[in-house]
Amino acid sequence: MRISSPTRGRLLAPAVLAVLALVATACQSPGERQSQESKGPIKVGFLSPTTGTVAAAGTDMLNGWKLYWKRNGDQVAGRKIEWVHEDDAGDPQTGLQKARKLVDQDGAKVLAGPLLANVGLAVAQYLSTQPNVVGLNPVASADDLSQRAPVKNYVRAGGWQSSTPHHVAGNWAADQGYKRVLTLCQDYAFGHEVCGGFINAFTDRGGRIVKKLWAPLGTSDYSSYLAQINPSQVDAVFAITVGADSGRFIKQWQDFGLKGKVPLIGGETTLEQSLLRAMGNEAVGLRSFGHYAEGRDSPATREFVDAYRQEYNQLPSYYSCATYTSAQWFAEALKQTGGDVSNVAKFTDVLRGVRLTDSCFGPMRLDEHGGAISNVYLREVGRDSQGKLYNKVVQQFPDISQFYWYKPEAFLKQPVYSRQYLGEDWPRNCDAFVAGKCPLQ
Amino acid sequence: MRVGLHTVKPAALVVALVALVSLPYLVGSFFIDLATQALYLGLFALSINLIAGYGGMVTLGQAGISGIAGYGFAIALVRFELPLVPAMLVALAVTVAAAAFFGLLAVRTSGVYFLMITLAEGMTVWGIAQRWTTVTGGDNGMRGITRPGFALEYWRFYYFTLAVVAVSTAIITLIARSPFGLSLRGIREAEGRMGPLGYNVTLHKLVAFTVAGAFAGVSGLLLAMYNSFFSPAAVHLKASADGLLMSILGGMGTLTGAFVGSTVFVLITNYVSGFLERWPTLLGLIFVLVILFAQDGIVGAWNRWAWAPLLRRTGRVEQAALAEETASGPLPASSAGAVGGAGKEEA
Repeated sequence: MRISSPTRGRLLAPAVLAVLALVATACQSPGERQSQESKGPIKVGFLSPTTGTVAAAGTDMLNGWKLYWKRNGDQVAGRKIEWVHEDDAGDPQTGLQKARKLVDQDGAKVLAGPLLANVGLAVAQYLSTQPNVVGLNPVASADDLSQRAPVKNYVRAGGWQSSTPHHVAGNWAADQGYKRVLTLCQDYAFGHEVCGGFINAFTDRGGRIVKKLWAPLGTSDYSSYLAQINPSQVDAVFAITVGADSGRFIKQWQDFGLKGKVPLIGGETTLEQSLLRAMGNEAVGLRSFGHYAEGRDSPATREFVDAYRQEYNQLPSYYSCATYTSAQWFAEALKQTGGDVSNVAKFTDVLRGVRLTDSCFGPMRLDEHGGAISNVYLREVGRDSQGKLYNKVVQQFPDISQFYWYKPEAFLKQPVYSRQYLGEDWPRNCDAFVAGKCPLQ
Repeated sequence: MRVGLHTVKPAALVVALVALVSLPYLVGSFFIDLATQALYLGLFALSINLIAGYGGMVTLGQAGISGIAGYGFAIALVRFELPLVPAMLVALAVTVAAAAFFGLLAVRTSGVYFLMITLAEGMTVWGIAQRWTTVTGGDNGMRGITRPGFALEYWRFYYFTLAVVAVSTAIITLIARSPFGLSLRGIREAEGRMGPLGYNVTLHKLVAFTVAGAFAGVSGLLLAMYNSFFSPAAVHLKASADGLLMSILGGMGTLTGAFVGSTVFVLITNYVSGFLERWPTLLGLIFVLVILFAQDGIVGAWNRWAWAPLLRRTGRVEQAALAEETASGPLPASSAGAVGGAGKEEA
């Protein structure tokens, strides 16, 4: 056996070489990231999860996006729209890497997507370092993206905020005379924001939250939660569930004999169309709040629903409507600038100023913070002529802002909704409310 | 002087380093981003390799430890508004302390029990990251992490990462080859015998676990700066398992293996996924093939199939026999450097 030279000696030479090379090269730039041309096709990178736990909704996103360009052609204001899809797998790290790939490798000038709020926040962070890329955010609803930590070039085009429809739900619950409500919420940021919205508004009206139950994402059995609901001690239950959890929750809600006994107020995603496809009679008649209702009786929604049904043989979910609207929003801004996206700061301003007089969501525009102002619907699950479950509109609440009846300055001083802050004791007086809207007794 | 391993290996190392240094001049920004990822993930896999490959302690909680560094750094920067370098030092100090604490709980066990304890430790960190929203931002993660002023651009950050990873790898190499590293291997091979021989087995394992934790922490800092963002996904069991898989894929008990594994992993998840929709299947298939046909990983297989025959042809018979013999089990330490399939030799 040969005896080798000492380790140190063998490592030294390469190490010295490497350090020298590093010093030599670090002074010189190997070239900047490629920049975009101001003419020719506009490249759009589209980010949605088509694998992983939220793949079904991510596919709906892709379908809605495709449908818009199919129906309206890929030429806008003389420029061709070329888009590339990437799968973010519902994971923030993957999403970030895919966003980088779309911009660097595919030369995307515009980035649309993604689905999950945490992926959206990661992409937002990336966009804040890429002032030459325009971001369209149709689905990722994290409140702070238009409240405490907005990113200028990441625009809620066709988007929404988690808490927005649920402020309305809280006020509505008080209107029904409910005094004692139990909340059952998914235990992660989205669930906290949704429940925060409901609880903040409901307690402003003097309502009392008798119990707050938190179920982790991916709860397969709700029985331990449902067993804690005593019908004689609550006037209603507010519940937000996401993805496959919703199907199991709604099924068990009926199995536990709570359906018809205790009023259930669902959140945006509890009885969402993409989930209704897998539900049966247990869902019929249940009510929820949201900024989208596939059964809305208006030409914009009806046309969209019919076209979608013809193309994909199913009813469109809010994910499809969101990306469809985002494409519409983007096209509208392009028309206004005559196809010019070369100045991103200017184009972002135009994007933020877009007003849709009607869309599959209804009328939509952004406030000065970049938050979406849209309709909110009280929806009820019914069956359409083909026997498919869908959400019909029971009541429409127009022009709902992310600040609802609060003064923006006062609202923004509070932290974002979390398990620690749900707005139960806030505000204590009428100063925080828009003039004439104070509900405190 | 005849051409042998002792000249080939440093030469391969120099070639690899020159290639890595000149990479930004050869490929576009996208691939430099991927290379940056492969480097810090390689360091992460290497930290797992140090305890799993050398010490025989297979961990499923390493992402929890690197996550403490990432979160510690982010919290120090964003919540306490510390400057960059103090924030890094604080984060690393906290990480080393946490790794030592986790080590104390874990090293008295071995095998599947060690696996379960480290898994629990990792998921505890994840749970805290997920639930302690006022501090960690919960599921939304933490934004506002900055990079050093001289490493803002993608290629500068690549060089920064390369330098940090190269230095860390050199230190780990020295540790692996030191008497300490040798006794660690002794513990892996025959834990029961090392005690009676006068070695403090528990202390050796604890020190190895803590040192590995420190380097996992360094990779956590690089990850946080690379993404300017840190979320519970980086701490999750999946991240720990990915690191372990990279380590196995490249070759347990080899230093090069970690980087080979991370490069394959990064290329498949980020590049191949661009044109192959079923990329998770491909990744799974590769893992199955490696486990079935090359339990010593890509580097081990390289040593057996390419390196040993080559040496035999050049007449280095006894070395070839040695390479084949040792390649059949987990490889002891010796291949130096970051990249390339350098062979092995006994010191």
